[in-house]
Amino acid sequence: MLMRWIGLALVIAGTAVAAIAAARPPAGLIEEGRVIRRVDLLGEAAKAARDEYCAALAEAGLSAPDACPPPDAPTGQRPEGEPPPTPAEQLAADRDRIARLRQVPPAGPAPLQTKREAWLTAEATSIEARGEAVTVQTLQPSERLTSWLGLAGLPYAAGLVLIVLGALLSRRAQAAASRGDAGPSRKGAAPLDFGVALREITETVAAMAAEAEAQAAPTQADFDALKARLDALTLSHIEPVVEARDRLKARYGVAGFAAVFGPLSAGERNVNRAWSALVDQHWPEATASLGTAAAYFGEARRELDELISAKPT
Amino acid sequence: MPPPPAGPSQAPYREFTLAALILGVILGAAMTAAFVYISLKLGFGLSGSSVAAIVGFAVLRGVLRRGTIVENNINQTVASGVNTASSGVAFTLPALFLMAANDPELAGFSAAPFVLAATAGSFLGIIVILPLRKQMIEFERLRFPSGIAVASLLRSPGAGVRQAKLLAVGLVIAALHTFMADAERGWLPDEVDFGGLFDAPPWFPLAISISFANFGAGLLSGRGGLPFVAGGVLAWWIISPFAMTSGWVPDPGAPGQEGWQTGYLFFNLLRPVGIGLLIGGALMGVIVALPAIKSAIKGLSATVQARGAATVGPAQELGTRVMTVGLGAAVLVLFGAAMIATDQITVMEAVWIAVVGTIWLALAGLVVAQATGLTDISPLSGMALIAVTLMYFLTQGNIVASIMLGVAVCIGIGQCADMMTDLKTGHLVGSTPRKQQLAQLTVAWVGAPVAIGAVYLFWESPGFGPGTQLGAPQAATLQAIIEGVSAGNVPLDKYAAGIGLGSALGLFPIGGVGVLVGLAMYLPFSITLGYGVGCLTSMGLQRWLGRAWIGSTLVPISAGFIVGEALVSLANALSKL
Repeated sequence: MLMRWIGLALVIAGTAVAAIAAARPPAGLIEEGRVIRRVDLLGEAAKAARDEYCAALAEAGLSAPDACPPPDAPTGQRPEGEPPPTPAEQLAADRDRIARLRQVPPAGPAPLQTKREAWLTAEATSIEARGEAVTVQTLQPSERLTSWLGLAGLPYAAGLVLIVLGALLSRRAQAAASRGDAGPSRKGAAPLDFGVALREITETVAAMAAEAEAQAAPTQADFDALKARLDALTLSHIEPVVEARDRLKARYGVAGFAAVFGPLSAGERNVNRAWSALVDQHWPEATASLGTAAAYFGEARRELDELISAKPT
Repeated sequence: MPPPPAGPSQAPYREFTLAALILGVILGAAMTAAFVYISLKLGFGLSGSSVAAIVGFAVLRGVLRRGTIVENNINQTVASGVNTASSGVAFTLPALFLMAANDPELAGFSAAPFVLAATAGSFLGIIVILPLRKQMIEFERLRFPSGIAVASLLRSPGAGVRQAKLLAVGLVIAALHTFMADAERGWLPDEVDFGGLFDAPPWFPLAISISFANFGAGLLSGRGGLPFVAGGVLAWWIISPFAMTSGWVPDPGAPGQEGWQTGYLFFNLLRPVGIGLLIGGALMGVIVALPAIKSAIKGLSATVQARGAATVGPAQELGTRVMTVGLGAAVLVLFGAAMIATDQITVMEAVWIAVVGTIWLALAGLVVAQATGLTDISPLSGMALIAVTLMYFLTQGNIVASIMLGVAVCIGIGQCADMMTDLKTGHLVGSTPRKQQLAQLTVAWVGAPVAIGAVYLFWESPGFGPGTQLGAPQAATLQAIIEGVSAGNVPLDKYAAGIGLGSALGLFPIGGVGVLVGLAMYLPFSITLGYGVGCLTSMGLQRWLGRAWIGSTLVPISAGFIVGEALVSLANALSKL
């Protein structure tokens, strides 16, 4: 029990350490993010200042040579097929545009001129921030990896070591627990013996199949009764076996577990099919499915016997 | 609706019938076109399984008066298999339309390679996941909450009046809430934020999503979902404050930027690690379970199936030969699609696209199927994003080829999750896996042309993209990501760190821990918390009332929650069209 808890604690601690280290940004990424965000914010501020100026212009009933172009108006028509301007070319064009606007003599009353100046200043600041962003180099994938490894590689590796140690301890604890003859499948329940449980399931399903086969003219009561017996079998026998599957895996390994659980699950599916057939009033299919289920459960039981004889408790 | 005539029937038990196939194809194709429109308008996809199951009841049992539970299961398998294409296409292809509108070099791409690639992806998705049916459903016993919900629906005619009532109660509660919490009505909240009570910053979230489907999935998962909650706590209550206080998130130096900083933290630091964790966790899960998987695949060989036929009857699953031939054919079609996608693709690049695309599809399909099985939440977009990124670098920046493979992978991994969910439903109602697999393979070619045709149609009229009636939010996001990738913005460090962490967690004896922690880092915390409340409630109720009560009472109510929310979400979406 102690080994299990130590294992779990190591996994939790290791996951926290490794995950925090994994999230650490490589050098340069924070500055890149800051510059890009600043460009966005200043762009938004410039747009707001222009909207304010345009609203005031409209309110004053004035038109001006620079009167409020649409927000994303192109600065010039680009001939078809010509590639879009590079960021540096766009910057130069925008700087020229603001310079030209500044040369236009201001019109209207003083408050309007103040708003115009605020807009042009905000535009100029936004363009300069974009100029700064153009110089920031995006980290290439391999650069990101090496930079991150340099910053967070050590704590990350330490976290992984803790996880692996914890996982191995947990596996040992689980294997040790499974060596107990037959631990409880759930709290308060009687210990489950797979061999006994599988034998009971096989015999019960085979008996149901035989009874169904013998029933030539089933009534609605027969349909209901058989369905109720299937429900009870699933709840009392099949589900507890399924619930306790981890113990089987820990005891006989993944391959051994698969050898038993493959046919067992096929049997379970055929029990479900028999149930569906009963709801659909199809007695022959229910009978056939129960027969198939019994054959599969029998196969699961034989596989378990082989495992037990190869590795006795 | 009236049940089939009482009395023992001598006719063969109806399962894979023409009626189920035709009804499923009609329902699936109709839902595909409608769901493409919904995805373009609202930005999310929907699952059509419960709708198909209910219509199946009405038509197969009600109108034709001869449908069986397993026949209706084939109908919903077919319908959801066809409809899987809607999300796969609507997540990816519209991004190319948006990019081509501004870039003459991309304009004029042909639909044919996309239809071919999507169809190949659809077949590949089914084929690569089939050998894992035993591992996921019978050995690991993944929950697939939606699969359980549809099974409860299919079984409802025979489950007794009490269980039918409980299913109906759950359905009505979830339906009422979904109706009243719809964004346009806003009569009830879809999220409750306790952050204001404690003056918590946005990077220490205390909000909980009020989604009955999410809560129901948590109820059905119980204790098995706890690592998911633990992952959310780790991401948002430990890493997030640590990163903020350590200056790992840019400070733009302006007031009111905490919301943006939280978004930055999520999209740049947590989510990429989460994607890596999903990949690493799923990979290690397969490695650890390799002996069981080998045994399962061995069981599919012709010799073993023939031996089994002597004792337990005909083969229950498709054999390895069908899968091998299907895999080869689908890879060839993918290669052909890559060759005709653009004239800039060389033969070698087309081979790379086909081979690497198939390998990635298999791995991503495994991730998505596991995540869906564990929580009912599918990280589809994250996996498609990696596919597009991989192809972008393999083809040296060929956007048409990258998105083409993105379409194939997105549809393929959707098929993986859908096939496994349907097989889970099939296990619970006793369907023959072989018939379900054959049914889904038979119609795997239907959804892709319908979905791609719908995208072309909606592009012509009314048009889609930001600022239009159909905003295509997912496509706009993918477009932004591709533009970021073309500038070299790929968080390789985070993916690699996540893969290492997920692989280490995959060694833990409880299966799926790496996937669950990864999924929690990939999602907003409010969803994880809502799901976690479901898990904890289920654990408390099991301790108090016992396991039998869970099976007889909680399962039908939870199934009703999932089905109710799905149905009313669909009605809400359709009403907005």
